[in-house]
Amino acid sequence: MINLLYFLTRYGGFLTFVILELISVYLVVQYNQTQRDIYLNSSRFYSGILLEKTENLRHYASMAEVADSLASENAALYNRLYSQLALAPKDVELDSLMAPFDFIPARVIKNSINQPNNNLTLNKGQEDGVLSGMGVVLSKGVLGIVRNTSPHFCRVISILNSQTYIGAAVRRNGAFGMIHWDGRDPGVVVLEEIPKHLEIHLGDTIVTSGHSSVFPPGLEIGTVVNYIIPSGSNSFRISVRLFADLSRVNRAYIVRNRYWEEIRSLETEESR
Amino acid sequence: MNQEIRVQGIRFLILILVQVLILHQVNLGDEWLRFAEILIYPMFIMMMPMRWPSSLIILLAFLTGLIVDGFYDTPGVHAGASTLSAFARPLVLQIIAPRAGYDPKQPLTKSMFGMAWYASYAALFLLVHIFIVQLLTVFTFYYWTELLLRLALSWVLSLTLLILVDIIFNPKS
Repeated sequence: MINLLYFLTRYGGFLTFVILELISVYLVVQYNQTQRDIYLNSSRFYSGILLEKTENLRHYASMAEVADSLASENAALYNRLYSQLALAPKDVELDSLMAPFDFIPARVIKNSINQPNNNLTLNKGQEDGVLSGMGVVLSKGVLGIVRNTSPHFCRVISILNSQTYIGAAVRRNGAFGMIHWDGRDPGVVVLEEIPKHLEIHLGDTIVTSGHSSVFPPGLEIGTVVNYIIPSGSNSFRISVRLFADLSRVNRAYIVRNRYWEEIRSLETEESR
Repeated sequence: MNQEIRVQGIRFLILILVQVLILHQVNLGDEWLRFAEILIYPMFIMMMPMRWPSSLIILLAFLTGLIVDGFYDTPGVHAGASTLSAFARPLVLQIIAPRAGYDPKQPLTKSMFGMAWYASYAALFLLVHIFIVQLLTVFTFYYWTELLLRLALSWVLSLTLLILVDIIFNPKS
């Protein structure tokens, strides 16, 4: 007891200082937007390096699986490429037929699916041409939208996040609505805003609508497993099972629209 | 003792009011001068009696900073700076200690060892305090030129003010 009192009188000032200083820095980071962003970004920079290192290790373990998925992906791409070449009339330049999108392959180095708002980290950033607002897709499905970038990494708001709304359409009849996640099953998202006079069948394929510069149109997302018309509502509430298993995503493609800046400046000009 | 607490309380009130009601409104223009932040409340931390235990001084400094933060809408910035400068106060006093040492009963104004001593005390103390204020405001060393500019401007202006206040309110020498 005497020792404790002695300790407090001898080091009490230092102790008070450390505690109060920690409280202050916590307040600064918690309640000041600029400082908070700087803190989050720099910690993301360092944690990003660490995460990539561990992911590199983990990566070796799943090499065979990755190779399989790459091979099947390649096959699908070849198929698509050749069918397009075969369809293209000979006198039309191929370039004008292609959509203005190109894809930046990236690896998922951090992923979460069981929070109400999920986010991911990918290993591509500003230096690879990634900008916030770009879409992120999988070989079969949509992963999310880039929110924040650092030179070598980017943060992606997952489709499994209450803030994400993605335009989607029924492939059979083109009816379009918005997809978001209700926070329950990480394999199922909800498609809303499709008016109730249209026809929906179980098993219909849902694709991206392409009504934005973020995602290319016609990308497969999932199939209809259930639909209801909430009482008093004019539109369906459709449950869509995703094709992709988001708990196991490994590789993703960041979608870059070649006319991104032009479209952006046009739209901001209009809203001004 | 009661007298001492009353003097500190009044000084605290006046300095805080001047800080948040007058100096907070001062706007030195849109150019680089806008980085300057004139601070007077550190004087309260500087002038707390030497006899008080250091943990009490640090706690009071923290609360002072928190109140200023409330008005400046910068939670933690002034509180953090005040806490650190209160902690560093004994060190600062030691650096500029006169050969005869301090008399703990004397107030820490220029009446103690004259103007030069007070000016160097204020200068060192403000340097520590304002450095932390600006560091917590900018929150990065990346733009170190801006950090230095902020530090230099605020330091010069605040120091001038502190010396003027001491000349005006403690005239006997």
